[in-house]
Amino acid sequence: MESKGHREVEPSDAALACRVQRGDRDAFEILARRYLRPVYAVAASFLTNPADREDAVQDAFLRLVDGIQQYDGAQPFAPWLYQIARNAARNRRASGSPEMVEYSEADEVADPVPDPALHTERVDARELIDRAIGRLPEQQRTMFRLFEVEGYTAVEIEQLTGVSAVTVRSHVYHARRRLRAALEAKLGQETE
Amino acid sequence: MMNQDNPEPLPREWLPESASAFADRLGVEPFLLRRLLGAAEPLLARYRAEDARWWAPLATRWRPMLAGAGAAAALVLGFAVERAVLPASETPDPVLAASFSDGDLPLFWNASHGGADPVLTVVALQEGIP
Repeated sequence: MESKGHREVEPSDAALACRVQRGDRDAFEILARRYLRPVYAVAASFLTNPADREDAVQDAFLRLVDGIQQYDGAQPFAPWLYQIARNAARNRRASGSPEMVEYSEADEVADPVPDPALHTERVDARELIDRAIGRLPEQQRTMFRLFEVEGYTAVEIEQLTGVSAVTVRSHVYHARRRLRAALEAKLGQETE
Repeated sequence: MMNQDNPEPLPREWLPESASAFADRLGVEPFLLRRLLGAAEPLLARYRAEDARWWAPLATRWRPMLAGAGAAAALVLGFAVERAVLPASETPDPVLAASFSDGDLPLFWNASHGGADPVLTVVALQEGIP
């Protein structure tokens, strides 16, 4: 996710991908530098453990190199990489401990697995929200994290994921509502 | 951009640390980059080796045509070899010819496709063989 000015002096993603197809290490390094943070952010929307995130990032880039011969230079590179990163993080999460359990509709009313720590006066709002974010549906969670936590704009997220900016905003809207509802259910007026 | 009823964003200080900030704080990026480059190198080296074969693009792009040309060449060669070998194979076996003629010299000679032999012709004339 580079600025336009930056991209003018750097080779395009497709050109770099073509060089990686021929085994160009420098091209791969440029791509890795360019997309390390977005891929890390995607991994962070699935995984809370930093070591797991790093493993997922490595999985994603290795799968990228492994499948680079199938990459069609006419197609946008970033959404292709995003799909790889998402699958890598999802698989890493599935193979590990179930650290994030997605919401069901009932969760907005009552938490079926109450955590005593969440009911104490000393509950940290950040921790509470972090857990709540982790339980959002996958697409909402990813879009919310990229938009609200990582600070990407909706247009940047569209370029990265291939999901339209309007849909990104819609996911963020619903994520905010769910988080607000979850917080109000747990902390009452503290969130106001 | 946003709807009027869009819920207010949550205060930034309530949100988790961004992955970028976390990576910056712990210096993850340089370490992770080195790790990625190291892990990807064997695959990249394989691609380089494949690319280094000058005929690799030809082989990939022209493989069907090369296969057809190879098959055609094999057919032509096969015909040529068959033609070269055929006269020798048509030469009668002398043992079979002798067995077939049962001592009859002209018959033997005819059976062995020998054509007119000067000696046999003289013998035939002297003996009155028709």
